[in-house]
Amino acid sequence: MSDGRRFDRSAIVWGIAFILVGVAFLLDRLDVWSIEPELFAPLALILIGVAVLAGARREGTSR
Amino acid sequence: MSEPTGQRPPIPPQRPRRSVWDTFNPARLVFGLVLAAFGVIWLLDVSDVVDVDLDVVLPIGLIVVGVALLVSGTSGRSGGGLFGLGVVLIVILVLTTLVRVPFTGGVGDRTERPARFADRTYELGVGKLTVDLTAFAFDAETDPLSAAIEANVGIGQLVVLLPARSEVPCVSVDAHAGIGEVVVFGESRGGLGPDYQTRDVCTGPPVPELELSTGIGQVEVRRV
Repeated sequence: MSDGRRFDRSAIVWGIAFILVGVAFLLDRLDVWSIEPELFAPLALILIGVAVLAGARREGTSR
Repeated sequence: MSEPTGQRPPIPPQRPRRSVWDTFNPARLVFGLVLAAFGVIWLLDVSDVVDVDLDVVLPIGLIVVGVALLVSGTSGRSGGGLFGLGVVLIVILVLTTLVRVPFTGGVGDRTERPARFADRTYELGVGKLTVDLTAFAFDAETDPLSAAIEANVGIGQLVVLLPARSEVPCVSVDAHAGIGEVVVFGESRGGLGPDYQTRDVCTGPPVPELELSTGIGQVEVRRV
């Protein structure tokens, strides 16, 4: 049953992405895990691609 | 005279209870809170009230922005300025990850020629730093058999000159550049985050243990 709430899919995807990236950098700064600079470019592409996919559905079907 | 109908007066519809997210735009709320929090932290840091490690504050700020975007998205609102703030934080984090060398040690061209074989640390913010190890004196009875020689350049060139192999047969090299090139004994590696590690197996002293890095620029190790 729908409660009438609407979702902004793009904001949700970017929110999750920012949380994951923030946790990764935090672990790196705390020396728990090491971020390899070589990963930046492919990960950025994946992130942008997922965000574009999330926003690709037409207005009215995405919410 | 009209007869009573026996019907109760209609009950006015109740207003839906408003949540805090209906009252405030969560994106703007958190955006303002994050900016104010960064300002307070910065103020406390420059006032020497607390020693703030921005290396930890920035990722936490990004996580807070992400949570705010998530909350904002589930309540049907767009992220507003949060998206831009998150992107700015990521760019800063990426740059500080690539360029981890602290910008200390001044600006310009400098040459260091240590006279004795011992642990040394050299730093230069921007410019060219030459560490000339070709003329140090070594006494096997009093000096250490190996010595850690650390040199960091923020932006620029770092050159380490070593004596001929006949004088110093063994050397340990750990060289890294955030963005740029690492050239060790003629072998060149370039691009994003190139590094070079070598461990000679021989043990003939003295053994310089070189730990070299530049944020943006070139690291070069060569024998004369």
